[in-house]
Amino acid sequence: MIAFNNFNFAYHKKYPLYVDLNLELSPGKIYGLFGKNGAGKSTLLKNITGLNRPTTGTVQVNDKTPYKRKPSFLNDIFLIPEEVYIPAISRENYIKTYGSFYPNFSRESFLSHLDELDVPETKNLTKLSFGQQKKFIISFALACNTSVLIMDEPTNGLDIPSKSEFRKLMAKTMNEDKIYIISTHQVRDLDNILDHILIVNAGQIVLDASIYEISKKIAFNFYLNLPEEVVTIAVDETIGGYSVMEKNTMDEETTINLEQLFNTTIMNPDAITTLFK
Amino acid sequence: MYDIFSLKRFSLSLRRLFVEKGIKMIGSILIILFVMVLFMNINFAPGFYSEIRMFFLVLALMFGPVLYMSVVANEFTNHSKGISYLLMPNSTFEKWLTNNVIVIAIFYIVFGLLFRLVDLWMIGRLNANFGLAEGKVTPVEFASDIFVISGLIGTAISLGILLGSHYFKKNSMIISLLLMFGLFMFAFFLDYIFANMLFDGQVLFGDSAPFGPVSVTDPSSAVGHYHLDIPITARQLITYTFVPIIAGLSLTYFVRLKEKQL
Repeated sequence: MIAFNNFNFAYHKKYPLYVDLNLELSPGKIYGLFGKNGAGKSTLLKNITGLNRPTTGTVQVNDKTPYKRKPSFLNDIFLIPEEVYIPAISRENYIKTYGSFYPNFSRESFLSHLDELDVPETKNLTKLSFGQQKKFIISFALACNTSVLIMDEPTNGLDIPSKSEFRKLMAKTMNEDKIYIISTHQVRDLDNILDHILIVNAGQIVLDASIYEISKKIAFNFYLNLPEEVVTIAVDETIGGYSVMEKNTMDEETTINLEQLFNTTIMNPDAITTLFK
Repeated sequence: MYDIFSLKRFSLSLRRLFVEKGIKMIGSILIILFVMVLFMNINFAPGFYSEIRMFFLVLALMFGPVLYMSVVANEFTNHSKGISYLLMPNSTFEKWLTNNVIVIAIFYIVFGLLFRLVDLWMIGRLNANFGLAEGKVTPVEFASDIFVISGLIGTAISLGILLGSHYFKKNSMIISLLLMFGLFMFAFFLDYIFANMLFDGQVLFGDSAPFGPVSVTDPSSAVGHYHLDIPITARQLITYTFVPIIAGLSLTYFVRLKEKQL
């Protein structure tokens, strides 16, 4: 479990980013973390991994304090940054050197993930393209079987088939002991794999709800013509009609339009927060 | 204790060091030696060898680590590298031990051994070509003043560069060297001011090395000119000055690594 308790964070004392944040993330879920540029997503992730230290308050990850960066904490968490670093060594050397640091690392899973993501064998990993390097690290991170896996823009640089394989791998490797947090702007890349949505805006968590809760409260429909009787939260004019976010008064089962949900939460946060009080 | 030191993790840390940087580390030492040998062969003569050997040995031990550190002290040259390094499941102590102690020890051990081979080879050639008597030119002892003094200064410079890599992302080595040079000049200047305050402006700027000897011109005294020196050898002086500097830099590196945020 990841717990933020009265968490405050500021890069400069005069401009606090997070003020008195309380948040809990439970195992067995894939969290989608969304926010505009500079909203504070990376700061949140860095505080979970111990790369930043809270100004006041606490962050606990599986009852450990991240900023102490103890090996017993570090070998159970993995962060895939937006731009990955790969040393100029062979795949085999990478496995032997880095894999051995993680007690639950599985060589078989790693090779299988590499195969599924179509990462070619090479003597020098830096010869791989940007997308291939990213897939290499994603495969490695999943094979480490850490209880917390954090991904910052994991689908950036991935081709279309790889994005689909990525989603399959996420679903396949998830279990009730793990927490996956995916921070991205490419909301469509994460269709159907998320369990929980977190939307950050200006250092505030403006939406913290499970997919189930969201679909219970909001229906996402497409209309050729705008109906008059529905209670709309947001309406987007699209090609050939209207995408409408409406209160789910009829207990409909609809597919969540993450992009519309995100835009509405940012543009009209009151409409969303009142729904999820 | 497990979170402070584990032999398994430490050996993995060393493995990472050698796998990722080993060739560059050894390569930089070989370049330093190659340049030394090249210059030592320009004026290949028995009378000249000892002097030129000393000159280049001092340069190699003091400034060789600069080249060496440029291939080692690069954990924070970009954001993703920094993340990868800080989140590597090692304790701060193990990271410090690897990057701070082992890396510098490797330089002096490898350089020292290779230099000894070069020195023996050069002396052998001198003996053969000029028919020198056995023992006329002898190899430089590892415990000699030249080795110890230059090694201590070189270690301080290396640690300064290593520490600088935590503070400056771009051109950290150049900035660190400039900063160290600036600090040295500041100490020199401060010493000059204090010495002149004590001796009524009679001390020359060239005599202002901290703890160094001072020549004082004093027309009011009976001798007119005298020379002040502290009663210890140059080796003791450098040891007493640089051991605390090295310890301070090393400790600062450890604290900085522990507290580092990205």
